[in-house]
Amino acid sequence: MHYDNRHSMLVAWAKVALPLSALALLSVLFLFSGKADPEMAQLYAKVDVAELAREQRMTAPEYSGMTEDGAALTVTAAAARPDTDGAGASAADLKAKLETPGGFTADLAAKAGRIDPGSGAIVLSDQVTVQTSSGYRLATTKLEVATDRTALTAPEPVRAEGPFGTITADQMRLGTSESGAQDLVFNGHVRLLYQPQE
Amino acid sequence: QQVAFAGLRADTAAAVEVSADSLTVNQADGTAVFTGNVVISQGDMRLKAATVEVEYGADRTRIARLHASGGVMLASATEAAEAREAVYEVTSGQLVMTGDVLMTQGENVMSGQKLAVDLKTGTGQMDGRVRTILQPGAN
Repeated sequence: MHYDNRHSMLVAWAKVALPLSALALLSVLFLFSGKADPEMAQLYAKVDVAELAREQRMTAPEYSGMTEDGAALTVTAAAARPDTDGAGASAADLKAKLETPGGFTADLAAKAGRIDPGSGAIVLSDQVTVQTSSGYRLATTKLEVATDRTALTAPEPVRAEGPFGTITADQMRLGTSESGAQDLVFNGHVRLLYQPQE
Repeated sequence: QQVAFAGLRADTAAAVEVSADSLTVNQADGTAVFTGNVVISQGDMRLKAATVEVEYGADRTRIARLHASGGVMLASATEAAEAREAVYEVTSGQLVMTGDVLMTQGENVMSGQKLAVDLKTGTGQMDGRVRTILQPGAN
């Protein structure tokens, strides 16, 4: 194909040469990839890589079990790690749910918790809150959750918002009474404040 | 017999405070029982008893009655009344004490079987073999 003027010839050549060079350029692109330097990656990693590698940790652990009187107990946490003395484990940001066959449920939450191998109980501490299906909302600083039977024990002062008022007491215990229903027992300087609404 | 209680007034809208040694709340039906030197106080009315059981109104957020038993003592500035049991209607301010009621008002002593007190108006009604001992010279 001969053109009389230079411009058309030049364009014709360009239509062939340019795509070919583009193709060549792209195909060699992958040859020049940079190497990812693992040392450098550590600086930008959000999770503390060194700590993760050094420590034994379990993220988002979940414990679930059945107590002798048939109540289901499930405990989840953000992270758990075995104790330094080797006995028991401690966990952070725990959430637990206790459901008894009678239909009573208790939702527990705490910032920190420990599994005490001796008594087999899970000890929640640091901003412990309990919400029961019967409308009680309790806040305390320490709560022992038994894993072999339905029993919650709060040895330190507890404050409870009940359906009919606020209750404060030195200790609280929730257990199954002979009749099979759950009893919430407050002991020591119990005070109920009830505001009658007309 | 009509009795006037000058001191026995309770503001039935005031907050009711119940303090005790222990409280057991049954989570199934929600009955609450206070035990161990229980003191019910509302305004300046104090009612001491051994055990107090809470009875709810229609929905479970309202307390209708407080059943005090095991020896009840009602105290105010000038009067004191003792009985075996008492039922306090929280909403209406009615207090009914039954069982060997002994009421002292200054030097006057009155005993009977049943004492009904309306804490709103401070008037009371004693009946059941009422015996009154009036000290001469008292007002």
